[in-house]
Amino acid sequence: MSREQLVVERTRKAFLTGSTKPLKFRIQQLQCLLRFITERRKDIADAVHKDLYKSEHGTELFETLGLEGDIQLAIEKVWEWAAPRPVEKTLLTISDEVYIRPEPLGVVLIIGAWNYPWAVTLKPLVGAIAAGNAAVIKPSEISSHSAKLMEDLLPLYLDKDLYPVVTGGVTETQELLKQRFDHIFYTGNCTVGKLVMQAAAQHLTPVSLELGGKSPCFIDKNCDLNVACRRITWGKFVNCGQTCIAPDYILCEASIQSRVVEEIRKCIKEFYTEDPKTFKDYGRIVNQRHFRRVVALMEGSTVALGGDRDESQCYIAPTVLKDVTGTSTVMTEEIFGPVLPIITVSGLDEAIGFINEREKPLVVYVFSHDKKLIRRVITETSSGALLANDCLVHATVSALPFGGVGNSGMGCYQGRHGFDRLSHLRSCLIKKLNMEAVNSMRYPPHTAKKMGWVRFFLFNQVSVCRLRRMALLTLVTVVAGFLVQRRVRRIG
Amino acid sequence: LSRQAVQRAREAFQSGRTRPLEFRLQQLHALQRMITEKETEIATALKQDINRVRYDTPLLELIGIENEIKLAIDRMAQWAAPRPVEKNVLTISDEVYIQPEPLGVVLIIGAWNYPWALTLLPLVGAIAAGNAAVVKPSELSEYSSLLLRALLSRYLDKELYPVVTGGVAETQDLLRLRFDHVFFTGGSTTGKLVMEAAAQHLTPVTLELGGKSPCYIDKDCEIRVACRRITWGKFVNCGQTCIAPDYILCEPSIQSQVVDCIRLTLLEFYGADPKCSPDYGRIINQRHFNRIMSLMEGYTPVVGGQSDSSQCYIAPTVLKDVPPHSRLMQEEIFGPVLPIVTVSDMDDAIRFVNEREKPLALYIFCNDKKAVKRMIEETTSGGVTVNDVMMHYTLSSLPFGGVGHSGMGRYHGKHTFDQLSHQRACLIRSLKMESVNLARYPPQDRRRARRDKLNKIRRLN
Repeated sequence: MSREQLVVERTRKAFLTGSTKPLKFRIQQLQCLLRFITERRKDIADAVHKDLYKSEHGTELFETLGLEGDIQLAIEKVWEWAAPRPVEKTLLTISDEVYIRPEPLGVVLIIGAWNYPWAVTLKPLVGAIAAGNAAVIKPSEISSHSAKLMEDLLPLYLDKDLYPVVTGGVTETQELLKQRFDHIFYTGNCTVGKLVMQAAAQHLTPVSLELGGKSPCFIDKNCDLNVACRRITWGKFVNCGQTCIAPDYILCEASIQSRVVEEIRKCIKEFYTEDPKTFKDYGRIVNQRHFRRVVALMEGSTVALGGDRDESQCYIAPTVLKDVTGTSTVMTEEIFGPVLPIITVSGLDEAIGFINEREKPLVVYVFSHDKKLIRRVITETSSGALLANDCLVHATVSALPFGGVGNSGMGCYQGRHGFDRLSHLRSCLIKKLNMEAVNSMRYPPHTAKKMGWVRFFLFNQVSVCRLRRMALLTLVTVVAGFLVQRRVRRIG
Repeated sequence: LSRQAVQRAREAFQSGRTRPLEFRLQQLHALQRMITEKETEIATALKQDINRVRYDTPLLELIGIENEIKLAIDRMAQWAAPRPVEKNVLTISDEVYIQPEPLGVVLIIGAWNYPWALTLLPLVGAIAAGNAAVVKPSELSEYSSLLLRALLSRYLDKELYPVVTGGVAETQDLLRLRFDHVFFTGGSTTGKLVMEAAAQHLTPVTLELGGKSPCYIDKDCEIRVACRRITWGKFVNCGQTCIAPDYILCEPSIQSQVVDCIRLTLLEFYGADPKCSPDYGRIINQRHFNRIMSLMEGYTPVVGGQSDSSQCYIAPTVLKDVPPHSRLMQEEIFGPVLPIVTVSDMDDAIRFVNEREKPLALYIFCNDKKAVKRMIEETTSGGVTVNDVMMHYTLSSLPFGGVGHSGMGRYHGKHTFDQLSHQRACLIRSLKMESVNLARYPPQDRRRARRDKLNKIRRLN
């Protein structure tokens, strides 16, 4: 038996003991997870710095702060989320109990990614724990320091049988995917996403795939370019462009292209100084393979600013490419690096057409003061999310579902959505053994008369709320009528 | 041919004509008319396919479809409207909402046991959500497939909602093509193939599968009433219902009483000879007839057992003291054969259920509220009905679907709409108030980090 098989078996055994069912247990585990993040902040920041050259404050801002917020939300709300949810009844079920009962699925497999090794791996874990599941956590081997730290430290805080960490590369992941899970939560790219779903199909395991794509960013020529470009610059170059929801490329009219380049140049200088290479808040590409990949993407395009690189450090300067076309190399795949192409379009129509010719992205960004224009982009395109006039921050609103559509993924999480995604929402109808007469119309021998009753009852499936409203209205009308009559009589 | 139909459906979808709610409403009204105007033709087709009992067609299929259409027409504007969500401090002056959107082209693969309900219920949701849909009815219910193809093209937009008929080869052809969602009703084996095919295109799926739905009868309940309800649910459509009670679990002390009550009820429902009753159906074909008969091999039924292969007739049959490891207990019966397995008590029943794959439905007949609660809490299943069978299916406010091997995803009412929509997160900010953002920009010096942390803490509070 392989190591992976053993781990999964042990996890399933631990789940079957029923220890994750009581909410108190789940809350306690979530509190331990919170303690882990707060107590080991420095260790985590060190690991991320070694993996991605991210500064301590960068890690806090983009990984642990959001995670802490998520954990605190789950601790606060799990009672509400896990409670039975009553639903609308019908005439026939008026005296029955009708509700949806959220239940754990069982053992969830969480496959993390390397770009935000803590946020992307532990955020789904929060939902898994809150929903009462056990979870096998497989961090990405590419962010190896973070993976090692997670493997060493997480078992010191969380129940190690219920939430084991399994490290390893492709082989270990493939071995894990052969095992049976009750849900697989994968963050990464489309190619591997397909393999994950195929493996899941063998066991009829549902999946959540948080993938990527090229997130377009349309800038309306009439908007405040200074602010727009600052927000875009921030969103693009954070983590050296290695963010699934980074604005991948810009679409704007030719008349503003130079201004856009200028504004971005100013912001880069403001954020990262004249020499980003020596500046501690500017990151690095995760490894040489990706470094070479991103550099190769720039081939054939005109560099408007930046472009310098240093392979020994996996450093690529914040770069903007101009006059890029739909067929340029840089437009053939998700960049996932600090290279920002600008494609000129004649206007919104062409921009929308351009976006719709391509796979549905994770996000569509639009910068404009014109609400009608924004509305048009929403109605005429599709994407995981739409964010107007800023970048990335929709991921911080826990009430919004975070996820893709089409090639950018399936399923969503964050806040209650994560809880629901990793639960089974079981329909429950509790009837009584009396009132059997009502049922007689459904039993054979069938007659036309019985059918008549069936039609009456089933067709008039008036919702109870409406019934109550109607009853109340009737009562009010009758009482009003009565009072008016009395008044009239008195006057008369 | 299927490729062309799918291509046309995609082009029709991309033309944008499913976007306006008026169009979707108009299509639903047309579907409504189709069901009312063609009830007789549909009933005839079903009689030819599966020897469907005359009254069971409206009772089990058409009324349900009509209700779903009515609900969708009534509520569509509400379902399709933007759904505002809770804001946080940082987004307090922004527009924050979820916008439901069509997915694109949905593939609906139907099943033969309720050929109309299982294709049209998902279709109602697909239309309401603004999708195009390619409908592939089951070839085993051939007359219904051909009628569906003729009728849908007459009543609905032909390009947006084509019907593709055919067998395994045609279905495999279809599954190679790219869809935005695949909605499949059928068995687990094919379910795996559907999901595998969908994985090639990263297409999300809804799988409505099956399994063995257990039915526990507590010794202290009104056994007569319980057995009447179970008998109805089991033998309707000749047991060919995905949520039919597959087998009974009860204590040995009440087993004979259960058998007697079922026998009495069968007499009430179908008379002394169910073969002659106009209200008793038939097995869909010879292959399934043989399959069910072979499951019973080696056992002597206590009720029924008679069969006539020329008519695909199997009498309502009950078997008692069935061993848990018998063939009868290894696969979903999907026929009018009702095994009784004895258990020592409710705990034993719970253990029995949990040792097996998660079923589509769990039925519990019991008057003790605490015991019922315990059984629900200690098991899992797609859905539960207590003190009756199948009725959770009839409430559109309850999501209908399986878990584990009984399926993934759910539908009915608004749930179909949501399942066949993309819930797009929308955040509309303004380009003002840039000063609030300053804390997030580099250089990330200590002062800024502290300020930002304070802001975040404020947000959380």
